[in-house]
Amino acid sequence: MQSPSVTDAVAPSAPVSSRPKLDSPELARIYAEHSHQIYYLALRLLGDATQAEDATHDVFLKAFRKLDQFRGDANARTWLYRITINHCQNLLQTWHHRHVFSNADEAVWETRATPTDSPLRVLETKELGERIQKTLDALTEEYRLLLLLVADEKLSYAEIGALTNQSADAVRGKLHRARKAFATHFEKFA
Amino acid sequence: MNDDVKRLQQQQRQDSQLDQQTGQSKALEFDSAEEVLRHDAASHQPPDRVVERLNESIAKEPKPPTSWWRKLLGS
Repeated sequence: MQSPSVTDAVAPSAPVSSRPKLDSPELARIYAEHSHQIYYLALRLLGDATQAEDATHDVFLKAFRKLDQFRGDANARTWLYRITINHCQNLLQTWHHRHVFSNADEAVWETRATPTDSPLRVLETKELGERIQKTLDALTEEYRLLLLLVADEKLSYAEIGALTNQSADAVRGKLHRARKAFATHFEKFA
Repeated sequence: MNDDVKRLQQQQRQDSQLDQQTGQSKALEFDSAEEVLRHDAASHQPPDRVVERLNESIAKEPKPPTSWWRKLLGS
């Protein structure tokens, strides 16, 4: 089956005219272009839709505060990813996140599918999403992050290396093992 | 025997064409972990209320200080 590209993934979930707009034009542009990938990365790193929503808000608010530093930087995507990774890692390290019971399972699986989906499609998405989250959770933190980043076709191995503090060659080598680990666990959770 | 093979191939071609025309597949199949994740990402959009929350938060942010030369020029 032909999987949708990341470009397909940014298809708006509501008519553009009815969607809320950000008051800051520059942030609005950055948000429109990158919010989907930022939200998805946070969702799969945190495993919780509500926390992913909060993280997306926090990441873009930080971005707004640092817009002056960003101007002139050609790659907003990697800049936002860096903020997101740090933010999510901080959240994951907190006592609260580690000890408080979360209804993550239900929350993640119940994130809305796009409105045009048929009931069958929603069911399919829910089951697949559950399996993907379990698979990602079974991986090491590094493998999980590498796979989520490489799934974004706009990122090069060099950029992924910069985001994860290693060389592009190291990324390439680890990705090979990460893919194998993902495939093994994905089959296991079938 | 040859007729059977031809019939089977013909049937497979028809099934494949039908799948392509309807845009449906009997089962989801992926070649790599990245494909799985891209497919998954496509069905998860950030809620619209994030934008509303961001607007509220930005409205509460302190205004940037006016630079000394703007004060001097009174602009």
